[in-house]
Amino acid sequence: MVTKRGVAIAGARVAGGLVLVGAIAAVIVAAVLVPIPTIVATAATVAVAPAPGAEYRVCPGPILSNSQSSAQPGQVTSAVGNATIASGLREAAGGAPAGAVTRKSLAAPGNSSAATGNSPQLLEAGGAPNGALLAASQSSTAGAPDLRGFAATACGEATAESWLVGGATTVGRTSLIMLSNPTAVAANVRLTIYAENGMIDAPGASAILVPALSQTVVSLAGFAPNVSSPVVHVQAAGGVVLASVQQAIIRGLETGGVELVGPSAAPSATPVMTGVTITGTSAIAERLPTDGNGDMQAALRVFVPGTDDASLTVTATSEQVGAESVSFTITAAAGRVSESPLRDLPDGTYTLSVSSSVPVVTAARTSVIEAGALDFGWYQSALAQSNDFLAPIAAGPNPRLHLSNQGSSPVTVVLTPTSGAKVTVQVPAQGSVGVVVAGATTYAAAATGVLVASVGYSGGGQLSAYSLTRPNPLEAPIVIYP
Amino acid sequence: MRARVTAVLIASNGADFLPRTLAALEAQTRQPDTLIVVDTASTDSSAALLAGIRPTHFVSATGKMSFGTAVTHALGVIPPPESNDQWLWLLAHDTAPEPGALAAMLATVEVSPSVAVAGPKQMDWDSPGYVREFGETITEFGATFPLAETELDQAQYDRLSDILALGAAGMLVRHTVFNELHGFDPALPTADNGLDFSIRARLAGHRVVGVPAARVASAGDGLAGPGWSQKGRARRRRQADGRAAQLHRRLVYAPAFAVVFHWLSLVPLAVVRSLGQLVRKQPGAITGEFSAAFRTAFDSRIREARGNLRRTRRVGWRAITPLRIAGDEVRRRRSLQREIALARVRGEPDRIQFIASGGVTTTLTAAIVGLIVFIPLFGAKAVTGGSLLPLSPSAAELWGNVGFGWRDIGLGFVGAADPFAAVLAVLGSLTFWSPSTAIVALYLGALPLAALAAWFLAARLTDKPWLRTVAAALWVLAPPFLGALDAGALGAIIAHLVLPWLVLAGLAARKSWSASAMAAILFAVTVAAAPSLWPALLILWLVSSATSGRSIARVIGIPIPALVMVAPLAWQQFRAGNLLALFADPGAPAPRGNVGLIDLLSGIPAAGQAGWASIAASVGLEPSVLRLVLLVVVVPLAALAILALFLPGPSSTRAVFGGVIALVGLLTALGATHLALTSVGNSAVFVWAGSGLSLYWLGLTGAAVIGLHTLKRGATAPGFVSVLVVAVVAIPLLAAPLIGGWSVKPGTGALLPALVTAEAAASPRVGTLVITPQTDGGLLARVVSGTGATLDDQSTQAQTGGVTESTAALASLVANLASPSGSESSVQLSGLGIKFVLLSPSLAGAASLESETAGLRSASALDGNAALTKIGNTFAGTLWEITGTPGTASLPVAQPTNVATPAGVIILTVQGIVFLLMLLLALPAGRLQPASARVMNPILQVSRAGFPAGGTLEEEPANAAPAEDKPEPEPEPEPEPEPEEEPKPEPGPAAEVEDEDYDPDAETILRVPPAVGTTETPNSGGENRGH
Repeated sequence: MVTKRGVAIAGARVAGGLVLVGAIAAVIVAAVLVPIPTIVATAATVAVAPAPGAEYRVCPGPILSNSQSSAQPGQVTSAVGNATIASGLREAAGGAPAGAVTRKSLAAPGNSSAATGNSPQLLEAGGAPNGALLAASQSSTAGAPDLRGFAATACGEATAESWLVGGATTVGRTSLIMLSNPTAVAANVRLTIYAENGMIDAPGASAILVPALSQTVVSLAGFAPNVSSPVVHVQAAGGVVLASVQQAIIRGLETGGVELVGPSAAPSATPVMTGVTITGTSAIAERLPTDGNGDMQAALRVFVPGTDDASLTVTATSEQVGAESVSFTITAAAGRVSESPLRDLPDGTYTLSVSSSVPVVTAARTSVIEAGALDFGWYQSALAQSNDFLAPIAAGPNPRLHLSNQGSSPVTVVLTPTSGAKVTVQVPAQGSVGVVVAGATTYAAAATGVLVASVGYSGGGQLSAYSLTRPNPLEAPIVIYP
Repeated sequence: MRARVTAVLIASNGADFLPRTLAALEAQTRQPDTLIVVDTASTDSSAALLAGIRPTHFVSATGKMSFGTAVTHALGVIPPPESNDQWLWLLAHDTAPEPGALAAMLATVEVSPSVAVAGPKQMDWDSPGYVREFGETITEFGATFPLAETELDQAQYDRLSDILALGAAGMLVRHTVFNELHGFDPALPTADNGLDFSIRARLAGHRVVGVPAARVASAGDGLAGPGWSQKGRARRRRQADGRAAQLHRRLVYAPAFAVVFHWLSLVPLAVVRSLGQLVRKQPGAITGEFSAAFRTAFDSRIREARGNLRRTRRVGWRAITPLRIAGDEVRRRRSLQREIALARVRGEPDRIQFIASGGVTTTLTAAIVGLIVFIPLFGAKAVTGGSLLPLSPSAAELWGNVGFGWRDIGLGFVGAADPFAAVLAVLGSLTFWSPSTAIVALYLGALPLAALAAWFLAARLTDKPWLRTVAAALWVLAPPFLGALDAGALGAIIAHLVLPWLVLAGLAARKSWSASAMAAILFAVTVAAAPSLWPALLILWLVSSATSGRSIARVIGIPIPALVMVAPLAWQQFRAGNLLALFADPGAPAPRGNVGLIDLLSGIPAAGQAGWASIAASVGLEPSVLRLVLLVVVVPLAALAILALFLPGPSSTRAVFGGVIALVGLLTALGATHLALTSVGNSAVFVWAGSGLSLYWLGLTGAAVIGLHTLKRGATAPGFVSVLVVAVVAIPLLAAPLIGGWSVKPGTGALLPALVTAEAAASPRVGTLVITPQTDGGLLARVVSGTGATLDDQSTQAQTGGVTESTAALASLVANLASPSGSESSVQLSGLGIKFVLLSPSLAGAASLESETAGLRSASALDGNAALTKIGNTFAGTLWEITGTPGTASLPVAQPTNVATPAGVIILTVQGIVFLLMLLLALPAGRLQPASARVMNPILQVSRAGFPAGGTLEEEPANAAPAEDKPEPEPEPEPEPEPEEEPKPEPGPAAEVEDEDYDPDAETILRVPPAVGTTETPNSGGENRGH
């Protein structure tokens, strides 16, 4: 018997069930169709710009003589000639470099002459305000029977990672790697050496201890004997180092010059070398066919890190007004060092602009024969300077400041020396200018655009150059999640 | 000289009883000589009825007055007594004497001149075969003690004569004595009025006798005495009045020097007795205790009453000592009552049958599975990973992290702890010698505990053993539970284990204070462990309160402990304008992949599809397809649950409740997936959806079990299939601890390198800065003290708070430390108390080019910092020690502790008191619990047994509605007649189903004591009198 009550209960039950199932279905449909706002609480963050450290520069010190080929860091070397340093500090924007720089000698345990003060130097601008500019460079002349020539290099900042493009360890070529650690912490340096046949297995090069505030010198031949075109990747842990390579050449009994090579710019698809001075091409051409003279030829050394081969277009732009620029294309195998001769370039000063398919590290080398003296120079690739920079000019023969404008509009630059008259220079778009400057002084440059700059010396059978490195950027602000 | 009897009949709205009373009066074999009737401002037809019998005097009082006052009033209309042979017979409107009552009493008093007070045997109004009351006495401490209980009159009291006291109703008093004693004490309107009068009569040198041959039917309407109504309010009022009367008598009877002490003890005693009332599950009596104490303390009538006693007392107290009841006799009588009550209650068969119906087997099976699955945990001291961290090394530290004080997280701050800290403190105290072991033990016991909880909840829904096992299996293998175990979401694990008990206690709360308090405690535990359940549980609580009718008092208070626990934190978060952060999961935040709606419907709380994602990836199945495939886990359950909603049966209401639980659970989970309140570095941490899914799963499982139960035949296959699919889906997560891929790591619980741990042994507050590179190139910086962060140190307030002054300063130091910088940050870090810097690797799967760069930059800067000495690479990352600074760096001491500030003390005290009271109320009272008057009342028992389904039963509301008289102990069976118990059930299949419906709450027929013959009992429907 179906009672009214039973019907009512069943009805209520069905209705209740339907309402509930409907509600659940509605929730599901709504969750699909209606965009529900998502509330995400923002994480507590603080972006902090680290306090800038005090400005400093490290000068690698005098030219060293080392007859033995030893990779031992404890080897005994001795200085050949003194290194003279030109440094400038500009504390306030505008005006001439006028600040006082303090110098400190770095310990050089392998250098028997270091005790006499002829040692690597640490230049500090203690107490200089933020935004102060500090720059220095050094030059030295060697006149020993087996080591003769002129070498100038920029005093740079120590870094955790750098690329040395230069040197050779074939017969008669000596390459010393100078690792200068200006920090208060010992640096553990790893050298990765690449050559024309790829990476060279050098077990001892992976952990070179550079004590705090000192310089360690190792001979590249100890790790990589008999390579003609090495490129060294320097990585420091702990403290940081300024790496330089000192290359000396002796061909038979004839000295072939000496050069201090600073670090090239980090791998880049568009490295630029400016102030590449090609001189005495005919004299060199005469001697080139002789065995062992191959490295007299001006050349571009390229290393391709990574695994992709590089295709490079090199454009040589002369400083001579009205000269056509010359372009040529080369390919470079990945993981190997290749050297391309810079043939067919008439005497002159050039800017080499490279455009590569993958980032590469580069440097150029030229030689000079003049008055029976031979010398050579390395031109490191460099990054463009900011608008305000200092150009320290170490003493040397016929110093010239080379400025290259990679931009598409002319740049005017005003050069103010420590003492003397201002010079105003116009650098055309895509052009280069060489400015005759005085040695042993520092110029403050104020440009209307960015320029790649280097300093070159050439004269009396002496040749050297160094590019002006851009100061390490201030540490980028970092986001902290406290 | 022949005795003259003046009958005094007092009526107060007694029209229901008066006709019988008046008829009985007229039927007396010995008529009173004078009849005075007093109408105390009745609003019904009492006055007319009284006038109808033509009394000698009709006194109409203008206002309400007590029985005693009315009698005194009435005596004003007759001249004072001339001799000792004049008697007063005191009657109330509900006092119907049997015809020979007066004659019998007079026969007794006439032969005994020393007797001043005589009283009849008071019989039940409706069942005249039962004695209701016959004489009273007091214990050694002065408490009232009735000589007779409600029991069948088998002449067992008929040899009683000299007694200490009598009830006022039907009392025969010598008029001279009544006047001499100044009548009843006006301070005792109902309770103890007759007792006090009788004692004073005794002390004045008279005798008080009971006359068993005189029988008066009494309805206990509450006029002449305290009344017998079992309605909750009347009962509570009677308790309060009784207590007040006892205290009043105590102050009146006490020797003068003791009065002050008694007065001073009033309120302290009320406090102590209130705690006792909680233990006895009588929280309703607490108000009465205090009102009685205060009423008595400020009662001006005590002096008057003492004077009255002093003037009339002729013999010493020693004279009545033999009439008091001895202490051991009191104990004997009480234990007898308990035995009777237990014997009656035990008539109820055990419906649960934990052992016989497979509860033990199910739990043991789950335990074995759990032990196998968690084999890697054997011997582990702690589990870490996911949201898990070790606990503090001592129970004292755990308890120190409860309440309001120093929160030792990062650089620390003063604030309120998460309520979860209290849960951890309790949990960790279980293994006080090594608190972290408690979490290992919880993992090992998680599966059997879940099985146990689900089994007991299912036992309430079904009597079929295999269905209970199905429910337990579904609950153990629930994807949100296994997901929480996999992710180390301790709060969600605890919530999953507690939820069935909470529902169980919540269902029972309507009928039992004990269950109500238990539900309140479990509610607090659940929302402390899984704050995301706050809204859902509050909704369920509201629904429950709205439908609980008269038992709302036991439901309404359930969230109180939880609110008390969360209040300090809520206040601080409210002040910070971040109230939403209360929903943040306690414990260590751990970023996990968020999930979508389909995953939620499948009950899967976190990315990885319950471990299937990697399997699917290896066979090339699309994640979107996998999601749909996994939805199969819920299909059988949902189908059964929906079926349960529509199938007829008494449990369909419960199925609807299950559906509502599932709905709010799903909504909670859906909300959780849209709410990220905390973050780890640059990774947002969403609220753990698994807690809501546990609720969703609970509702689904419950409804499905009801559906299976209702299906009866053919339920085996669907039940088996639903368990099978859930079990298959659970395989990857169950296998994860054994074959790898588990995010929880058993071990020693060491979070920091051994060097730091060793240093912490010497200086426990040594600080370590932990830097972790983030995917956006930022750095996460955390300061931990000693051996590392602990779970009980965690604070959602710290995790959800923004940047403060101290954290900004720390950030600046870290940034400079992680960069070659001119800032001497290492010195300042050392000043903060940091001795070690740990560069921790990014989480697996959370590494990017940016994080690598940030890591290299930090490592290089730390290497290049002369003030740091590199220790080396450890399991936790690369470690540096700050050595360039003098002294030993140590973080500031964790001050203030939770009892060091007034706020902290107040918070701990209030929370402690609330939980103590709840625990007292929740504890099984055992022998202390008073036997319910209903259990003890043989009249009700007999009427119930003999006449189970009178017509009135149909008027009862539908199944869950409780019967009238609420407050009674849990074991008492509750008559809950189902609507289906109509005399003529519907024919057909529906009726067949209904016949077998299972409801443990259904009416239970008690065995009737053999002494009581059912035939003697009229069909009175006694329990429905309250209607």
